[in-house]
Amino acid sequence: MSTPPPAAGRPPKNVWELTAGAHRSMLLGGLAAFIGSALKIVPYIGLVEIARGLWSGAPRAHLWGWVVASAAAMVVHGVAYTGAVGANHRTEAALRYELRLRLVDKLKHVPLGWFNDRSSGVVRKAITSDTSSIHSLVTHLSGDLANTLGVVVVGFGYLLWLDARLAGALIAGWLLLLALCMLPSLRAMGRSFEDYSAAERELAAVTVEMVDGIKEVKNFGMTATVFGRFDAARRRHADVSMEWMNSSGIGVAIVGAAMQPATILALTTGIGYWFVRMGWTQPLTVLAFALVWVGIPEGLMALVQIFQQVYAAAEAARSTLDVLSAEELPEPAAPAVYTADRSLIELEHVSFSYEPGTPVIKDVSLTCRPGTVTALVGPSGGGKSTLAKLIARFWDVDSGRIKIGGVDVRDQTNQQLMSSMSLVFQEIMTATDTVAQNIALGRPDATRDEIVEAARAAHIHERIMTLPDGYDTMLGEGAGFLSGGEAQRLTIARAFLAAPPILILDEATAQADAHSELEIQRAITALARGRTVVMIAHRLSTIRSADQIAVVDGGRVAEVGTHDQLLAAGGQYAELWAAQNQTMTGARHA
Amino acid sequence: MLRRFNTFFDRPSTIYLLIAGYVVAAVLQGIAFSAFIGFLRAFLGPDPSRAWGPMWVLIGFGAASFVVQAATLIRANRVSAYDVCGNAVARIGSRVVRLPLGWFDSGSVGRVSSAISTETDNLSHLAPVVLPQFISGIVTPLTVMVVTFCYEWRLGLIMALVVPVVVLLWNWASRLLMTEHQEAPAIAARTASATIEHAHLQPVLRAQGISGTAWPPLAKALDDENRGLDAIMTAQGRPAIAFGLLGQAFFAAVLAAGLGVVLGGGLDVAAFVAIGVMAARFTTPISQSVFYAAALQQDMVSLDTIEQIVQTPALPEPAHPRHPSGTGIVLDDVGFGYEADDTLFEHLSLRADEGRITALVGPSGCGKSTIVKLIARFWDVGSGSISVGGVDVRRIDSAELMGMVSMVFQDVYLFDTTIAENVRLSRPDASEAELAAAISRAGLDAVVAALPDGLDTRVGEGGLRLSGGERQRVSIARAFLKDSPILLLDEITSALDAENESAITQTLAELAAGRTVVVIAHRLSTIMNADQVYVLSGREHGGPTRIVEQGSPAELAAGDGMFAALVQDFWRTARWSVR
Repeated sequence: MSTPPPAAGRPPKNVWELTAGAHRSMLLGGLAAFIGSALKIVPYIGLVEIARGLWSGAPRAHLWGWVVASAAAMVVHGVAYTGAVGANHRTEAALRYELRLRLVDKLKHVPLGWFNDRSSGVVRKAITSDTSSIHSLVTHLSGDLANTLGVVVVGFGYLLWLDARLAGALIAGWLLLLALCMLPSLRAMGRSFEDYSAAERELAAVTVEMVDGIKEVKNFGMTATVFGRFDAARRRHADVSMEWMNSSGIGVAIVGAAMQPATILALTTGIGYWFVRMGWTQPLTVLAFALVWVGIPEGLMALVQIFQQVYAAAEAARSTLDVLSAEELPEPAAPAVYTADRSLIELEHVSFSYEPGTPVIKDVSLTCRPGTVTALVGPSGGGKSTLAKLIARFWDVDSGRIKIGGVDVRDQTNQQLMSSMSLVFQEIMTATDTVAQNIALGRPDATRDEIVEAARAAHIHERIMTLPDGYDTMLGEGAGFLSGGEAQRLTIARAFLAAPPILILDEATAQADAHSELEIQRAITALARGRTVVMIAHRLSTIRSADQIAVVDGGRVAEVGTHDQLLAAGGQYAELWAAQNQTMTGARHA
Repeated sequence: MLRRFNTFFDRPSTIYLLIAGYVVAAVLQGIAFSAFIGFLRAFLGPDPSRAWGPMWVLIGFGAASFVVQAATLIRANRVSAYDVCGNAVARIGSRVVRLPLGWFDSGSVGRVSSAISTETDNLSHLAPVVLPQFISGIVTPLTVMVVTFCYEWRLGLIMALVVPVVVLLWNWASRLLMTEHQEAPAIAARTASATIEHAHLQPVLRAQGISGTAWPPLAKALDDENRGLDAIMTAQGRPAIAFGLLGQAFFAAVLAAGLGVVLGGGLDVAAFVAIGVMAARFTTPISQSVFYAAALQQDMVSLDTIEQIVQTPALPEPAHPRHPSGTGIVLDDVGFGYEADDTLFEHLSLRADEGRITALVGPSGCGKSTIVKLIARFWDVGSGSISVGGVDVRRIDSAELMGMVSMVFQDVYLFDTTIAENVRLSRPDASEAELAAAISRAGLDAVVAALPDGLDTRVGEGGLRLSGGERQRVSIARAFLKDSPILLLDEITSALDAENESAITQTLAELAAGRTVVVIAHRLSTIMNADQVYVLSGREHGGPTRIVEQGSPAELAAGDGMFAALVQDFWRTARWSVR
């Protein structure tokens, strides 16, 4: 299945455009379903005609002809209907598959920051759950709607042709009943639907909270506030559902009970009997009504439900649309030609804000020369992570520019830019795949020997050899074979294999003990050799020997210099150093 | 299944009353259909006005069926809103908070959420939607069959022949659908995790130009899911076609045989037409059976999912709780493992003396935090005992034990409400002044001052609007407010900013003063401040964790054991420099 290149055509604006690929098959499927369901009436007509024939003494061949016609119509109906339903489901499955491919291919063109701004749950939901909800849209809209219309339109048409007055009286009566029972519920639904969804969302949110925060719940006892929040949400949910039931449940129940076939039959024949007594119609016509009318109120009900489902599906498709219309990272068609050493990083008057009006980075200029270490230090929230991520083009700057190898990052292709650097962040980035494959993500064509070599360099080879299947052990959920620190060394091995000229790393490691941390530190030291390093540092001792230290605070670079220069300057860095040293010496004297 | 479903009702008779209502309404439907025969005989006869009496019989049964069904449906709606939804959610919730921590893993949020929303929602349709369809689909045709048998046994026989075929098809379809319903979530879960990994790995994948569908694991997951869905559809399609064919064959047979009998003079026209009407009506339930089967299977799966939660045993409460005297903690010969074949501790003994600081050190994964959680009875030990103030924790009322203990974790979870509410959690009845004092002692006041709404600032889902250091301060404020005699502390490991680190170290020292403290220490400063240190071994070769050294930190540091080596490692990591 080919997917359109991102440049081709604009993203779909609404559900109609989203499902455009399926429209032809939906129409065909709908047509088949319509014809199939229209044929459902033939056996009823057949039965009426056989009765008529029996009374009027028609020839046997005529009677058997109707039996054959009825059976044939049922077969055609069956084939057309199942065919239409099957075809619609397959159309929908194909559409869903195609949408998912489009969505994931869309994701490779959005800025990396897009992922940063969304929880992975949101991304997952847009790709999996919400594309599933399109299911009802495609299948119900064409199949069920056409099927119901077939029964209602053809059936009612036949009855109108037989006796317009009786048909009119019946439809008026049923519409009145439906209106009396369903309108209050529809009106109540509009009102309490809001309440209901709100109660449902609230319950879902506190459930997640209760489970995620289970340690705190246990910590403070289950009678405390947390469980209270759950309990309150649960009660509200129950109350709202009860209220909803009370306002609309009775009407729905009455309509449901009135639509039992024998009840409809009794009503229809009762009215028919009266029509015959008044001399307005024939008994055989009433028989036809008794047969055919049963399907019509059901059909009217089904129409209401179909529209409700389609509405819900269209709502759910919204997040899929949002993803597809996310702004893409503009990139040139061909890789740029570097005009300087490809490990040279230059920030020129860079300003950036997540939301307009509240700048996070303000007019920052900084040069990281090839093969040097630049440390970013400063209070949390000061902007050092944002700055590091801007170099990797997680977002585009508002003004100024960032150049790598002398070329603006916006003039480089995504692959070019990404392959010029390795990012080692706190987030553990492994795939459900073998250890070897996880390392080989750094360079897919690497040989096993090269992978092992990278693992050795990252101080993780020994650990891998203790895994049940060594390099062929599957990592992933539940398996949990590697600790956080070990997984981090795996990503470092990946970086060794990729061997990019630039290394961007966040020092804060997820280690749990001194020994493991030592291993990570050694791996990083080896990896940093000969590369341009930008490091988000938390412990100042780590970066004493850095070629330059930039103190980032309030979105600005407050100071730049070497450790000695900054200490001598007696500014913010000197204060931080003094504060941290106090803790260290405190430990030493303890 | 009914028995399992019944556990959600306040009164056990409810479900049987509902079923009785549906059955009565369905039988009345069947009788009304047979009354149609009498009506037609008179109505299609020479004098239609003689149908007056039979017509009222027909209307009477139709109306009676309507009243019974309407009343049953209203009742069903009520009980499923209140009993099924309400009770199921309440039971899931109250069980979840009493489950041992071991039950919780990365998938538990998904499991509980789906049990509370999707599965409960499914079950709520059982009484008012699935049951009436299912019952009328079976009982009405059976009644009609019996009545037809009385009029014309040959046609009755044809109808009866359908029954075994329907039963056979039903069994086949149910098995098929059950498997598919059970497989679908696993297929979906694989795609979900591949999608998340794909998002996390973007920088690496883009560097290699293998992002999106060009990344084999994701392409494979999507492809597998597509193929899996296809298989499910095929599996559902076959019974649908089979039932459809059966329904049509049934109708054609009744029509043909009926006409034959009529022409042979064995049956009057009115009875034939009425039987034809009934046969035409019941081809639909027959061809729809597969959907009832699917709905019932879905409900079975929902019941399974909910029961997996509500039937998991909770930690037992003591029948005759005892009150601890003092706060000293003793682990005596403890054996414990998360899984039956994996022993984490064997004959582990240690003591944390009253009013003293006891530090636990050791490599990651050796079970330090398990020890702390065992003291707070997040799980029960497999063998041996843990006592607080001389009483086995299993014999202390859980509310009393929780009241004695404050825990500060490193992965602090905050609830999506205000900072004040989050702190107050540890003592809901605290006064404003006490709350303010706790916040200030935890050093949280500076953080709060910088926030737009101060104490009323909402912290976001999981507290993510605050930094790690700020979240830990909230947790420390909780502990100050609770002011319990025992403090269990899991020190934050990830590197903090210079300022944060020194401040938090100081705050924790204040918090520890005068309490019995067990601390999982990651910082040398904390370890050296402890009164007593236990050094735990790693789990080489999967063996149980042992205590390799114990004593005062100064003593141990001066020796040449594991602790001394650890201190050396600490100094080395502290001296590390990237180049």
